[in-house]
Amino acid sequence: MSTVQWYFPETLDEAISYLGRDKTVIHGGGTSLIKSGIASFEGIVDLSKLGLNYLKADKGILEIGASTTFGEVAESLANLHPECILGKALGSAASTPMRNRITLGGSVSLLPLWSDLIGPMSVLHGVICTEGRNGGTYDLPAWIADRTLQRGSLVTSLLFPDAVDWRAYYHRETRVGFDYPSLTVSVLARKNNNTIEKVRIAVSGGLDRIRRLKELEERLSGADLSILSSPDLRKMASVEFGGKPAGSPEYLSEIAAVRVERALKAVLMEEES
Amino acid sequence: MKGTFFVNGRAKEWSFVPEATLLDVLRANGHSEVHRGCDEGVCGTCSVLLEGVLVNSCQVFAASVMEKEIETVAGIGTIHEPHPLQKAFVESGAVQCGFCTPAMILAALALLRKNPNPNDKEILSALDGNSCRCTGYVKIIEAVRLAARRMSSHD
Repeated sequence: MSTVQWYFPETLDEAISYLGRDKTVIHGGGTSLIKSGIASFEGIVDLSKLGLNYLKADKGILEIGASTTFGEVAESLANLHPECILGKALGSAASTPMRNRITLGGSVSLLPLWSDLIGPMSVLHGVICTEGRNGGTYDLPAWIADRTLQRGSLVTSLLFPDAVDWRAYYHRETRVGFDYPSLTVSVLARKNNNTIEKVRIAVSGGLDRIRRLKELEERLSGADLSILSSPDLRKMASVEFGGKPAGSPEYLSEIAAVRVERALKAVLMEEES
Repeated sequence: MKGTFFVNGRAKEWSFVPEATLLDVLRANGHSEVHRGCDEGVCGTCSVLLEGVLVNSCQVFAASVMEKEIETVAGIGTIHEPHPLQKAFVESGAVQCGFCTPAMILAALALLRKNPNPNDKEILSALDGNSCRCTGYVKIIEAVRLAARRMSSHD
């Protein structure tokens, strides 16, 4: 006989009080908990009554509640800011019924290797807002570096301070449409006539989980568009990978570099990718 | 534990274990029209509409959706009064073995309620979580197009 107890807190304080208990876990959309099973837990804290399902967009700043699903974000952004990389990425993740259950809070808590959130988070300089023992705001590198930040804490929202007015490109490398991506490429760019003003590039799925290509970003910023024909571009886009079912480290590294090159040409020169 | 679910417009109070999925609970209570496929959220054959939104019922804990509205394919039409989508699936030859059909129809219904005149890209996107192991996708997409035309002309 299972002894798992479900809790449905109506306030953040009540929810956080449960998190201090042993063997208690948070339920957002439940897609990861279903896979891992909940029989070993004593308590499940459901977040659905906390009002964390919202998306606010004001002057280019996006704030999204932790219980908002990928599907809701993709649909809202398709109307509000169709070019926003976050909507493009989350709208292509998994499948329609799964996107309708996966929440931003759950996804940022787990950040699985196949995450479609981590790349856009990186290039948009997303911030994770939490309440509880380690309540505060954290950028992605800090969040990834210290997983203990999540103990006794609850992700309440994600903040994207500079989310719009970018040319954006998102690519997920899969063998078939419905598949976990072996890598993702996220690129944001701004240009003025033939001059590249600013570029942000992130590749996920490699040994570093998420890698910003800072050297390439600096080389491109302020440069003429003709730099995109440089043979050095792919070298600077090189990212190390481990072996995966989708390919060898060398293969994935080459694919990532090609995808970065194509992404840059797509956003800056409107070339077909 | 016990909970109330509003299934196809009727309140049902059911007992279930805390780790039960919505699929477990629906099938244990006679809703055999909700099919069990992969149990991993991949094939989509267990799809239902939860508050009007398509979900894989195998990926939803029953406890998390108590007091919610759930629609299965049995709630949208009958054999004597089929829904336009059900008629379109039959007339288009979109039903082969039929195992995926209830979920396909619900996925199409969720789409047409939001977007009565979808293009092919939007149809493909709406059905992207539903697999047809008979691979009869061409006829399924034709059926959705046909139903969309008929449902729009009734508006």
